[in-house]
Amino acid sequence: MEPTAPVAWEVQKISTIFIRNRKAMDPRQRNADSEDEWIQAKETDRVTVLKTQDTKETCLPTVKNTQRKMPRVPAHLRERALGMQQGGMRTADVARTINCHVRTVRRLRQRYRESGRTADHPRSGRPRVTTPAQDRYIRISHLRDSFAEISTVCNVTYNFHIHSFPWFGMDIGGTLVKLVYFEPKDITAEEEQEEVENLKSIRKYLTSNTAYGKTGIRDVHLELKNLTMCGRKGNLHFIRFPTQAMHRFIQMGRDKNFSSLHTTLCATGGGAYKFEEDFRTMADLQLQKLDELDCLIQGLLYVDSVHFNGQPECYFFENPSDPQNCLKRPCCLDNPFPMLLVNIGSGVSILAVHSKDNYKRVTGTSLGGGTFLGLCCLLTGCETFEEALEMAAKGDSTNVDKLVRDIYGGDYERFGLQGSAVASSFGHMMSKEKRDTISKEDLARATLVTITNNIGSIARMCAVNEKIDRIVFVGNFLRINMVSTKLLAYAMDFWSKGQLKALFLEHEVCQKEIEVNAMCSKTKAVVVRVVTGYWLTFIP
Amino acid sequence: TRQMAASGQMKRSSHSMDKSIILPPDEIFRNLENAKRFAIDIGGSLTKLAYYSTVQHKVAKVRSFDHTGKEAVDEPLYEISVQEEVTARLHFIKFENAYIETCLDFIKDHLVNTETKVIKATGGGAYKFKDLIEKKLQLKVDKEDEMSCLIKGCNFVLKNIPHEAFVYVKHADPEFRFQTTQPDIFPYLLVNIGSGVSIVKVESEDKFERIGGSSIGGGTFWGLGALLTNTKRFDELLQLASRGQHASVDMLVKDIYGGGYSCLGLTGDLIASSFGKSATEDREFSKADMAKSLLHMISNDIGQLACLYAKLHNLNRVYFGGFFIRGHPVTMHTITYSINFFTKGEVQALFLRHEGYLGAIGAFLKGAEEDNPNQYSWGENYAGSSGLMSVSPELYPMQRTRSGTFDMLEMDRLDRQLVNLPLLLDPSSYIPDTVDLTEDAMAREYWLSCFEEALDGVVSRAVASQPDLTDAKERAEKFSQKYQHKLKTLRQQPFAYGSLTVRSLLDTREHCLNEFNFPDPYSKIKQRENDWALKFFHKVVKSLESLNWEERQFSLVKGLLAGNVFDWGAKAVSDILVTDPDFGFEEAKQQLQERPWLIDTYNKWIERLKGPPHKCALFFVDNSGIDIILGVFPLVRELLCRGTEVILASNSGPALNDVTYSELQILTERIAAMDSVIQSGVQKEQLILVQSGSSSPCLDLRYVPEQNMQISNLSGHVCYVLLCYLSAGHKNKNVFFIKIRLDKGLATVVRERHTDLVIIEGMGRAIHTNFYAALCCESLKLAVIKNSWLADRFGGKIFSVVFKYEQPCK
Repeated sequence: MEPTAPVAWEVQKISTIFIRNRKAMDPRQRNADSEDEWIQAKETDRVTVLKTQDTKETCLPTVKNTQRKMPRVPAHLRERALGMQQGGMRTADVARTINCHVRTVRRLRQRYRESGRTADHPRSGRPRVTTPAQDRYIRISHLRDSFAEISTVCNVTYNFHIHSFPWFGMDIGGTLVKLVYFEPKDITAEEEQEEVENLKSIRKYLTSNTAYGKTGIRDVHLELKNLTMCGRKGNLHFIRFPTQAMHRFIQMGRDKNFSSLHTTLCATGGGAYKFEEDFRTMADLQLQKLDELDCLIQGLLYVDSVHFNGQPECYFFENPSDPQNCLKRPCCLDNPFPMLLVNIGSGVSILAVHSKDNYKRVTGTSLGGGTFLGLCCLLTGCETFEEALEMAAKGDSTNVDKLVRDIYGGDYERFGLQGSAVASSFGHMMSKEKRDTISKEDLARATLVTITNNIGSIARMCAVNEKIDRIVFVGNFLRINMVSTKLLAYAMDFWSKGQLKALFLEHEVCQKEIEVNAMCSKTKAVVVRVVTGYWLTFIP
Repeated sequence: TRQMAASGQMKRSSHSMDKSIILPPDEIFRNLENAKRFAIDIGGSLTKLAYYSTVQHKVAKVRSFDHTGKEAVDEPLYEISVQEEVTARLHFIKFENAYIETCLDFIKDHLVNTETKVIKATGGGAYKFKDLIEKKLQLKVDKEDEMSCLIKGCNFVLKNIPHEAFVYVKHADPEFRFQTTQPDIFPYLLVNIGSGVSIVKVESEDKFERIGGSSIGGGTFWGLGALLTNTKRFDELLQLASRGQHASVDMLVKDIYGGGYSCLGLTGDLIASSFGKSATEDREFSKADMAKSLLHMISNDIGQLACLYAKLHNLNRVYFGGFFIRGHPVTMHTITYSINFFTKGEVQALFLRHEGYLGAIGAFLKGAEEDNPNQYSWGENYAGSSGLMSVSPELYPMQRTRSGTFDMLEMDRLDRQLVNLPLLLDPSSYIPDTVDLTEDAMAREYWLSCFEEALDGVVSRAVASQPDLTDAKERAEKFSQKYQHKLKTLRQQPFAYGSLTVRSLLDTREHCLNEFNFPDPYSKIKQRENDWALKFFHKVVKSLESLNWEERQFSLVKGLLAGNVFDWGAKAVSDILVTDPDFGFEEAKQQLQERPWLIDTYNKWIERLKGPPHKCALFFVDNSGIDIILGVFPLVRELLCRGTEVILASNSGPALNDVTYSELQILTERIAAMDSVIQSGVQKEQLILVQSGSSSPCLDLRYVPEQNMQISNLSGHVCYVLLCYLSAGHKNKNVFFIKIRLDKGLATVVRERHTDLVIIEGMGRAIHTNFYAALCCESLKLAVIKNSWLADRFGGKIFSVVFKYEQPCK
């Protein structure tokens, strides 16, 4: 059996059948519930299994009517039909009696003559995900504890690597779509042979390029190599493209016939809600929406646990107040809680995280990466984040901002404000002469500094209010943004007089999607459980 | 001045309004000649000048004739003289920086009597204009720290001006909701939004700390706004912003999620990323939209920071100030919205009426520290102050335009410290006024018309009160115009001076009368009535004594009520009094409503009187003449006979025909001479006269004198009375009697004597104000409703009687 379908479905299915059988009122059914019959049942087509097990009233009429146009003749009727024929009834009469087409009766007779059986020929169907041994394991574990969560059973079972490729996770933010792709490196020859052409081409397209279309980019430097995920070894790739290009992406999914590989995509971020309809109608893909903040926290913990190609994922700055001796130092989140997680995307969300499941969104602000880029676009006419950052790196914000010394001539001692502190962001721009002479670079720099300082100051207040002394800054805004990271580190250190520590990640941009990927199997299980009774709808 | 006017005219003809201004000297920089002390606060766009000046205005003085030994029947009881009195007044003027040079020239020309050598300066522009000021005024500029000035000013206005703080509600009528003054203003958070933002925690008068701030403030709005929209002026930017739609520039939650994000409680319309769309959408954005987005961004950011700091320091009073706010409706609205959003309504964004003056007030106070200004109380002078302006022109179309006008604030020194009446049950929830006319549009309409109609009568009496002065008519005309203008303003902007009440309308009229040197238009009337009533005192007392106890009590109350009919403040009564000179005490009794009265707790009162006598009664008296002499004094006499001490509280200054403290002193003396009970009461200090601390027909129990001035600090009025007593060669007892009163104010006496009954008399004190006042001792509020509209509201007829006796609930 090829492990292709997600294990949870199988687990669910087997358990469901099992429960149904155990609970059946008919004593005949209970007797029939033996290991042998199970195994036998499993070796035939899945749907047939159902039919043989669910006789008469326990049959699922909804499934029958919606999924299959043709009414399928149950086994006992097949036997009876043969008997009737042998008893001399006309084929047409037999067909009417068991409510099927004449041709069905003829085929039945034919098959019986050839094989001596009334059952259908074995069908190819969808390949099974679980091996008979796994099935047995699931069954036994269910017998041991019939109230066990599906996810628990699933977790125990997925040791047998059982994930259908390709593995994707997607975070559709306000500005950027972040995609992680797991490229398996341990594909056996057998697997490769079995691999669908489609899947191969997707893998090849993603791994051999670093840019996709005009705007899609793979962050090669962030690639996580030789990662073990769900029992498979491989590389994790990080790809991003603007949310504006989302529709083109969905179109591509349709063109590549992605729905033949997966019916469901795991996604998080606001776009998971916004584009859900488009995914369904345009590409025939369901979006598995995962909670953004859950993903964020678990993703953060995940990247920290796997390390960045041998290096710790987290880093902080030593001596942030001293630009000469400021050093980037790696560190591990061995004991990460409590922490204040500041996620700077288009906007900013600030979470107080006390454990993996115990967190709350403290506050947020609308002055985030989107504001920086938006203002930069308006002020300097730049188009991309990189462009804006590049300009900002060259600029000098003191030409734009009014400093304390510009107002007070020096330090404002009464309140312990340094002369170099910014008193009013863009304060110089109130005067026309200065507006006329200012450079774009200075403006970009001032925008960056303004936004960063503001985030820093809100984060610091939240940390004090929540009594947390470790702040982890993550998010798209900090990607390749050394100015902001250093500024944040400095601000935290300075204003808290060394009490607060600012931490950053190498993978600021992508931790959310990793989580999506890692959580796939588990959350899927949860979803399947929710729709118990209708699980057949998931079968392609 | 001529030069000034000429230059003004010349500039007007050249239409360069930006730089030119004609200074109306009658209106602004008043009393500049005697200015003593200057302070200036030069902000980014506005200059605020503060000066302390003495105002010479006329006050009516009464002085007793020496009646000893002779019975001069025809001679009046006392002599009225109008005297010049010097009182202190604070002037604050706000004008645009563009006018600073013109104004300095003007000041230089007019500054004659000053000895001051220093001008206190604060604000960002103090450096810039330092040389100019020094050159023009020949005064040394002494720089003061901006923030400490601000705090000082803030404490000052919060303490001295009732209805200073307000909450802004957009599209409401009225859009300002004033907060009642809290007895304890500390601690509070002051968020000053200038170019940047400073967040200051104020714990006491001198203790404050800048706990945080932000560089994103007004300067950012202006600077970024100018860059984005190419609009140069701050006000224009705000106007742009008020027209824009921020949703077209900002990325909203619904742009990301397609709807709300319910599990985090974020609605779809929240801003997820300010200017987020300008990064992702490739199109032109309108200037208005960008300005609006910018405004939202900055307001929200400040609101959020303010909330975080308020939460951290556990403060729930947050005042906002600075040029970013300065009465701009858009910013007040966005800040209010943001505070409500972030604190979920726990913290209210409060704004200040005189927010623009805080720096100047503070700088001034710094300079005046040696004068010990905290020892005085200051009251806003409604006549000389410009009111708060409406911010939604569609609601109040006829108001001054913002730019180019001079905004003024004047405050009178009250020469005494005012405190809460110790008998108030809950000072923090006490609201003196019965009806808030700002909220009750119908009542507002009625009272404004009522005051307008009564104006002619007031004018004619004002003229009549000064028959010897030739310019009286002219001044009366000016008064009439000014008051009419005030009423017009109030009709359009009822919130201009805080919550509009009958009390504030009456006070405004008094202020305006004083302004034009009509210190006491009713002085002659009062004198005549006092003379007249005194003659009947003996007869009234006699007739009362002949009655049995029950009858006497009723007769006393009826007499008091009948006396209260004689109120020149009520138009219905003054009409009768003018047309019918024979209308007297007995006629008034006839007019009174028969029992049961409109509010009638008389039986309860009688039951109480049958019990043990009160320890001490505090009696707020109303009118002079029949009211005080034939109504109040017999009752006082009865109380004294019962063994109850009586404190008679009368107005410090004249208002309508209300009896003033100095008049009452003479009257008491005269009655004491006629009546042995009163005389022994005075001698044994069982009858005490105190000042109520106000010059208003109404009564605000939050502001009563703690103690009167020290002898050394005596100014004008009181000093004069003392001197005239001394010079009149009165006996020692009287001098002693006055000395005690000088040392102890109402509040102190009330506390010392363990007052257990408060009697409040008259419409102004018991109906317009204090009707619902809860006291921690027994109280009796009585009045005759002499206004048919008000009677109608209460469900009665004119001359209905309110007799409200209450015992504190235990």
